[in-house]
Amino acid sequence: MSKMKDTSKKPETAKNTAMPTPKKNAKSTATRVTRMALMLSLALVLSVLEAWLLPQGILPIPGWKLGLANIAILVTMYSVGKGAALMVAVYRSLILLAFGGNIVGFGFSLVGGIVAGATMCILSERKRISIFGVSIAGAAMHAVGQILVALMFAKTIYILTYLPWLMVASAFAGGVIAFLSIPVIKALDHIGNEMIQ
Amino acid sequence: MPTKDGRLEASERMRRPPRRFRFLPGDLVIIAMILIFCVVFWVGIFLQGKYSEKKERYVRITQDGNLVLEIKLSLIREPVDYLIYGKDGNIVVHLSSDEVYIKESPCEDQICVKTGVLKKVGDGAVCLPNRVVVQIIGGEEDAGEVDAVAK
Repeated sequence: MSKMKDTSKKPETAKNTAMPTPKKNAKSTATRVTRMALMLSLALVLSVLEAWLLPQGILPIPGWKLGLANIAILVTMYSVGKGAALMVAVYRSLILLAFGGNIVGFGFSLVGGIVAGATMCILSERKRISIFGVSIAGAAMHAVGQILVALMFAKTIYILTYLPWLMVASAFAGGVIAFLSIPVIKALDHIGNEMIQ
Repeated sequence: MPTKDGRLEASERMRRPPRRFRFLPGDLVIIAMILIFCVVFWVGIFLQGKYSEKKERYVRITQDGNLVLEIKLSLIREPVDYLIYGKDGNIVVHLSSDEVYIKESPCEDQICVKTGVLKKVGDGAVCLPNRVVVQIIGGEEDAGEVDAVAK
């Protein structure tokens, strides 16, 4: 039965590719899923790597991070899709929690990830905003999300005084992350095409 | 695939966005918005600090949103270390008539310890793992708020 369904679906996808304006790099579902999985694992590795390379102690602003894992999110967004990027962001938080994270860190990571992801999804469609603006705005909103979670945990309005510092530092980090993501996005395109051929 | 009425389907909307890898003017607008927001914030904090500078300084320590200690700094005769019992160990807060800081904390990140010395009204240190907040507040106006927090 399932085979029957599969065969019945195939003409539909063929129709999709034969649209009046076909996409340049129409990817199969397998490629999309593989890329998502690859990027999810990259996000996890980068999260761990960042904790090693830049321990909280040596950073000038407490709580600030470069957010290397955002490379994986950005790459997913531009080479798979926006929904996939949001999924990678959420799964990353869940898996980090499962592998010995604490619930406070999970709250920060999840809320920050969702707020930043939604911002990036919306802004990426704007005509005059490039990947830099998308990443910077995402990072700034990530800071806002984190401060909101901190407000919930600590229940003091004082934490708000810390927001502008974190926001400016995050925006800077966002620019760097966008710069680092571009070559990865281009490289991934290449790999995908080779595999299909 | 666009539907008959020209709108995009949900799955289509979640596809990957157009690629623009060059810096565009819209990016500058975003950066400017962030900076303006921060400057407004900073000015607000600064003005608030100016306003409360003349007031008497109090130190307030809260844990889980509950008031642990509140005392006028000028009442502290000689420096003391104040112990707060956290769930993983004790937090040591150094108190003196001039300055306050978190001396030791059982938490991993030690952000609260690295925040350093708190002197001015509005300064504060937060230990999120233990949900402890140490801050310097000013004036008598907060008296009402203290009761609210203590409840």
